[in-house]
Amino acid sequence: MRVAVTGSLEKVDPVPGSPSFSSWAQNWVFEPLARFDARGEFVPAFASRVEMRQRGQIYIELPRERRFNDGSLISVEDVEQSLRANGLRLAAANAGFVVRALDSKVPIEVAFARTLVFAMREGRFVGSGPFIVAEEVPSPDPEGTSLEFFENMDRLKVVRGPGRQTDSIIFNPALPKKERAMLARAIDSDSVRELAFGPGCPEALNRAAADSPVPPGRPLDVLGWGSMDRFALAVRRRMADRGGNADIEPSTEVVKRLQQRQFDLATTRILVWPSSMAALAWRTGSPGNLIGYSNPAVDAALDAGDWAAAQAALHDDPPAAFVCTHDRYAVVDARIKNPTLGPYDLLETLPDWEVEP
Amino acid sequence: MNRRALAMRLAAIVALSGAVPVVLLAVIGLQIVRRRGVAASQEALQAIAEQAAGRISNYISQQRVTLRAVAMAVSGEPDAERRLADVTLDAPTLSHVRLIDAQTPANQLPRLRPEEIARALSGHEVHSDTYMAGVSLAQDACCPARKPGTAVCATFDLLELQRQVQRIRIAESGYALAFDRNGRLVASGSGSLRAAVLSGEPIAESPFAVQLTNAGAAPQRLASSTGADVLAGWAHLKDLGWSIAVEQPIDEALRGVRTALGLLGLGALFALGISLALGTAQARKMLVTLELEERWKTAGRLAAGVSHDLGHRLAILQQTAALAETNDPAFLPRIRESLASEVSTLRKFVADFADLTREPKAADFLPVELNALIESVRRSVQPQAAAAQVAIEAQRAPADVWVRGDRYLLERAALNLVYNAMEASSPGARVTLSVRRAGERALLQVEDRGQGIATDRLHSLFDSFVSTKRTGAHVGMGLPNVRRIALAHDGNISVLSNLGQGSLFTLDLPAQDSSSFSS
Repeated sequence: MRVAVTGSLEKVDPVPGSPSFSSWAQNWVFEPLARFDARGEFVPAFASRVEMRQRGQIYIELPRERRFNDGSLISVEDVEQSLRANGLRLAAANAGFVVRALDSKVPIEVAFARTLVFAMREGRFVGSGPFIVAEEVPSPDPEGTSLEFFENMDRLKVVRGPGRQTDSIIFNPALPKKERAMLARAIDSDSVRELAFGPGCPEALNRAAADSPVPPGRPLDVLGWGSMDRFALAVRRRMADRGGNADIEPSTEVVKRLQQRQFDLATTRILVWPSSMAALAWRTGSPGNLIGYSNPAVDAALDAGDWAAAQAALHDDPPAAFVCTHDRYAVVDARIKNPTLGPYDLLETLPDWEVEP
Repeated sequence: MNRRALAMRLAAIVALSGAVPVVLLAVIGLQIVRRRGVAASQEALQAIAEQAAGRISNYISQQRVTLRAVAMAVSGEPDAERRLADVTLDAPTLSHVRLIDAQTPANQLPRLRPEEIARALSGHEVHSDTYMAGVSLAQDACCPARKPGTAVCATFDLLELQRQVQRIRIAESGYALAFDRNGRLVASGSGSLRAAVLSGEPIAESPFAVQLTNAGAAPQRLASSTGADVLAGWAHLKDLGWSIAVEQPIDEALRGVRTALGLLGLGALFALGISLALGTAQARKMLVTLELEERWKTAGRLAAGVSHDLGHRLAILQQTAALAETNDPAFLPRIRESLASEVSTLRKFVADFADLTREPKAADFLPVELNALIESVRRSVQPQAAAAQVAIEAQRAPADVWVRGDRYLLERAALNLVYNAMEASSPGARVTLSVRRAGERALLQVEDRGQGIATDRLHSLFDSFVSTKRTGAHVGMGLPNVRRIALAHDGNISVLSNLGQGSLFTLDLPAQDSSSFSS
């Protein structure tokens, strides 16, 4: 199977949260212990049984006699090492095991969801997924791909699925809470969506009231990157007199400035589904929380697994304005009979696709 | 040839004489229609290509006009950079709109050569070649700004041009292609060729696009990269360096013409069929009429010949009867001789008619060896020959000569020829019967050294009721009967004759190999 992706390409490894697009192939090579179903709840993947127990514990049972793709047997130690790489630990319990968190930076659900079963053999990672990596060939990045380009192509068809990330404007946490709340409502507007993304952009998941006024204050600069330049310009226009400079920088520079809080407003793409994943971006101390946002109410709700409460807390003290959740698309060989996009990882359902002869 | 075959032949001649010109005209007409159909399709494709080129040219012009207007309106303002950056929000096809000058870092300059940048900064409008930015086309352009030494530059997003090319559809399968000046496919209405837009690989039409760029010509009929033979229209945009090809599979382009050609062809065949049917029907009617007429004529000629000959015989018999009524014994020898002669003559007369009643049938033909046949004939006529004091000689072929036929009729034909030869010969003369094989033919010849036949009678010698000897018992049925027998055996009869030197009759029949009779 050959897969073309648009974006940077690095070696496929079991490390979660890699910015490389090769991470799309992670789940085909390294099996997760569990997957999300369409409702955002766990279903067993490598594990033969997964149950949420009391807060902070997940009970799992492991299959017997499973092997990695190099033929070696998968041991409990391999699974334990895989969990440990994600800040989790494994303890035997009854016929199975209990998974607990080693630290409290991200909720156990998030770390567990990102755990892929792997082992290190002869200096390289091996997994138990249905595929192994044959080769990775970088090619020019066709940024700005138009779906129209793929229309009427005899051997291809376009598959569409709901998005899980929202193009957002992240605020410098140093801005006052009240101002951030007003900015969030002002920026989450149809005029910004129209200018930045054109017609057809579905409304953001957390859309605030439209046409809210921009609060008074000093001019705010907008930091943008890559294909988000129009988004940055649209936000600056929406800010009217408060619109400062629009700095379009490489993504690495943007990440750096976010971590150093050298920005006022910045374009970013935030994981918003399933709700539990909000913890990655917003829990205090989470590796995905680049700007160092901290909200005890959010942390408490996340730790309690109360996603609705976490959302409400984020709404009260918004770290960002959520503007546009794009649908996701894949272009696949027309001979594939039942291509569907996975609810979480874009192509996690790929092993189930059937190909017409 | 029987009446049916003759009718068919006549009908075919009549029909073909009328149909051939019609068919020829139809073929010429079909060719004209076909060529005209091809030309019309090519003209239509050419027009579409030129129309597409015009639209693309207009679009590029609009982008440049917009950039010029922006440059003039904004570049002199204090917040020019910010306002230029915002232009992309209102004119989405313009991106990276910025002010440049001599100090602008290289990584912020448009995709122009240094000399073009210098030209732009000196107050001229310049633009790059089109290039691929991802899967979208783009072109960088600069135009003079208000402040000397500066220029406003932008990147034109030419995705709309790709859309325009992709939207061009001709009937069911026709499409348009756009190439840059290097022959690279930059937009494709054909989905199967669109991968080449990304890969940059040349396609079959690429060399023709380059030819067009270099003021050459591109073919209007070609084997497309899609694998189909197509008709094509081409247009070139000199300013942009693009070539536009609009293609349509020949099968589809000429579908209408082919339908018309098919209908015309069917019409011509129908007309030919009607012509043949009418011709056949009319020919049969005419033949029936002619045959009836011919029968009456034949009956008349037969009646004339019979009445003449029988009248002559009757006169002789009346004279003989008158001699008998004298009861003079001295007349008895003369009466006896006369009666014997008339009986012989009338017997031959009856035999000639009897021959006419026998129809040769190929299914009843048997192998006949001609050497044996002429020997039999020689023996049959020997008594008469002796009486007439004529020598009969049979010259055999070195080997057996076989034919397939009705032995009785073939012998009757040979006897007829020999009798004629004997009657034409003077006492003491010789009549020669001979057989030989000439390739695939078997020849039976009868030669005499008699008085010969006048040249003016030779052409009608084998016609019915025409005889060179109308004074005796000859109604003129002998030689026509020989000819009838020859034709029935797929053969022929011919004669060579010189007055005062004699005649040579040749019965020419298809020879058979004796081995063919074994089956």
